Amino acid sequence: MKTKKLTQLASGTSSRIAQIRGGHRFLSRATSIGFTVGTKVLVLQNYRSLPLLVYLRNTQVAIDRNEAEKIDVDEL
Amino acid sequence: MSMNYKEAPPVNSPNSCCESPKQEFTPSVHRSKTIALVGQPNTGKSTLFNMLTGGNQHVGNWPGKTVEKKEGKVSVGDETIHVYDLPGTYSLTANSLEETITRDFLIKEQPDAVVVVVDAGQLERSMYMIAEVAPLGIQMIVALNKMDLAANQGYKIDSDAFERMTGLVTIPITASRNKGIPELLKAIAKTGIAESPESLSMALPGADLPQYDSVLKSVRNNLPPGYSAPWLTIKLLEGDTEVASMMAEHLPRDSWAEIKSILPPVDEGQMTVAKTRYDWIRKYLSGLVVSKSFRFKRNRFDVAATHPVWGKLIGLGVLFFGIVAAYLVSIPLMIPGLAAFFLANPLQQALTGIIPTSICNLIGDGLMGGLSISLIILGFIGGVSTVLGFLENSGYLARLAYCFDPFMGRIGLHGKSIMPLIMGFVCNILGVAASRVIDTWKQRLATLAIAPIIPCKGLFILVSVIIAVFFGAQAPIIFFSLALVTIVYLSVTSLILQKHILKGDSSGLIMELPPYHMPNWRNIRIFATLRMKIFYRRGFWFIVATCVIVWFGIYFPGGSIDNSYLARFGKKLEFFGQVVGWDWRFCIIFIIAVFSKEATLGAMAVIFSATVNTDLFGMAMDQDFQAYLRSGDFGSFLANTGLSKASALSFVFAVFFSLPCVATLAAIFAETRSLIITTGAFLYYFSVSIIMGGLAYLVGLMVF
Repeated sequence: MKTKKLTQLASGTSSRIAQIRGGHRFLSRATSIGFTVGTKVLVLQNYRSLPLLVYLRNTQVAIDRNEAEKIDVDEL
Repeated sequence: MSMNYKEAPPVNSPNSCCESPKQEFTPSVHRSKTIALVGQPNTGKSTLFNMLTGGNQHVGNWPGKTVEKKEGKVSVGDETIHVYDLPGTYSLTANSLEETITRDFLIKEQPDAVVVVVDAGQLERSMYMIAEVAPLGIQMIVALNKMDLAANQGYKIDSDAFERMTGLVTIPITASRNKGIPELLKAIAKTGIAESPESLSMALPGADLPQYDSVLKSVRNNLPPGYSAPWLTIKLLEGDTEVASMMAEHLPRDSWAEIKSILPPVDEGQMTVAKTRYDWIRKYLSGLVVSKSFRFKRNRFDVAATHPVWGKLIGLGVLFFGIVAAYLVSIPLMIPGLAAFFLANPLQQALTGIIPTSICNLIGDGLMGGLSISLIILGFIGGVSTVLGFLENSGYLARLAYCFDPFMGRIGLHGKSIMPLIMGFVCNILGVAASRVIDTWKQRLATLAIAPIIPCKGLFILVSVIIAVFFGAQAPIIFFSLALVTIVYLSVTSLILQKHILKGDSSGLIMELPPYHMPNWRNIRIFATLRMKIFYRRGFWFIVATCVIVWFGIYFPGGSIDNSYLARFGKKLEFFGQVVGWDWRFCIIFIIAVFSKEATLGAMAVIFSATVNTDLFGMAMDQDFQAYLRSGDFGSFLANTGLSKASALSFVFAVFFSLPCVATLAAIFAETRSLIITTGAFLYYFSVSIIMGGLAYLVGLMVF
């Protein structure tokens, strides 16, 4: 199992969140929409020119690439 | 400190919400109750609000804030229930204006009950709000919304089991299909009546944290009045800065120091508390969702709608059809406006001889012209709101925002801003009205401030004519330079906004893409009607009054524009105008361009051909006038004004970057309900316009 940044995953990859870095504000926004340590995240699409599209906690979520960089995941 | 202590009995026990009704049950004829709706975005909270209250809504401001406060009324039996639609937020951490408003309302106003709206198709995430509200100690009703979508996805949900497990009154509803609303109302009516204390059988989320008990104990010993101890405890553990500084002030120094020594580091606290909330949700979810045969799969349209290329093309197509649809919807609403326009002349003729000519003209040109414009704009707002409501409720708007987010992000705006900005090309009023799609107040304000920079259709026509007359073959170069300057202007403005308005709000997009959903027309109709009502109250008569004033300035004292008050005013301004080589006529035209871009060509024709017509608004739509424009006479008049190319260039730039028209300002006022913001916008654009005119003149002197 290798820890990667969420943005490094190809579309269709399942992963589990290992760590989230960032300030109070970002953490609050990220956690309240479902990003917490241990959460399963499926990358739906990963185009370089668009925000990352993921699926977690029954929800399709778009997250800015710079923000997604702050989320470390373990590939499943 | 924005929180004030309230003179209310302290809410001490975590279970107090169901132990003791706040008000004693007094049999009086008129009883009333206050209910708050809270929920995460996309849970259908606003739809529920519309369905509960119908059109019976009142929109105001939150005290001291510019965020909209929506309040509605509904009667159950002999009881009036006041329903407050609190801003949709993902959490109750005071990170944004919306979050602060929601939590301050719950704490300070102490509603009789709070209805937490949850998306039955996305329970795991949307139940987060239940976990946030639970420790507040307010009686809670859970509205399990979108039961139809959940069923489609293969979820079997047992709300009774959930009710038994948690003790929370839980009502399954489908707000968009008007299902379950009577049951929900019944449950709301029952709140405040004592229930058995054991009914709330759940443990509070976060109560299992190791530090919880000791912090709770210290907080209880010095509880600020009106607050719930469990809530303060959770928020302290979560590292909430506002609660922390309030407690630091309230508690004796040593007990605060004691609490502080127990608290985890801020970021760690946030992660842990959030995690315990989700663990709490998981625990109850297993009883709530009986079976689930659902596997998430994206449909082909969604894949295309979020593609880097196809997604943008689809988005532009949708916006194009959206604009067409907005026009179509507004036709029935515009008919009275056009009727006022066409009735103006017959009415004026019919009245001639009966009442003095000046009053005839006042009614025919000033009043009817103003009414006509105001009614047409009212129609526009209705049309654009309907389209907005449709795109928002169908779930597509989030895809549009997703595709354009990196692009809009470059000027500091949210992806959703693409819609108001594109619509602004047709008419700035559409753009201002469409800014309603943006969820946070700061982002909306930034979009509102940028929208008027977009050159609208009316401005394009006006500037094209002037450029064609003065610059002939050089016209494309002028257009190109206008486009370039527009981009610079947009960037500079957005920089200013990011520095001042969006301070600390520049965190990137984290947005849910909700499942597609057939919108409910009644919901959209209520939304559009409300937007029109707001404009009617705040902008409609302002525009009519402006038209009458302009008419007055043109008509008096001489009866024609040449020897009018406006002309005298223009001659006074000539002193300034001469700096860039404008005579008084151009000064007047510049002022008229402030009022209406469409009417400006009419004004020019009147001024330069010295006809006695005072019906500027009429001329803009008049066939004869348009033929006259094309005939070349107009061009020769303009060309004979003796305006140098440098002065003409300065005029073109000053007009192109001039103020948003009065109607747009009225729309900004209707949207923001703030005189300060509207005046500020006015002054900003006005100064920029003058500066642009001056700079263009200097450049013109060098080039030509």
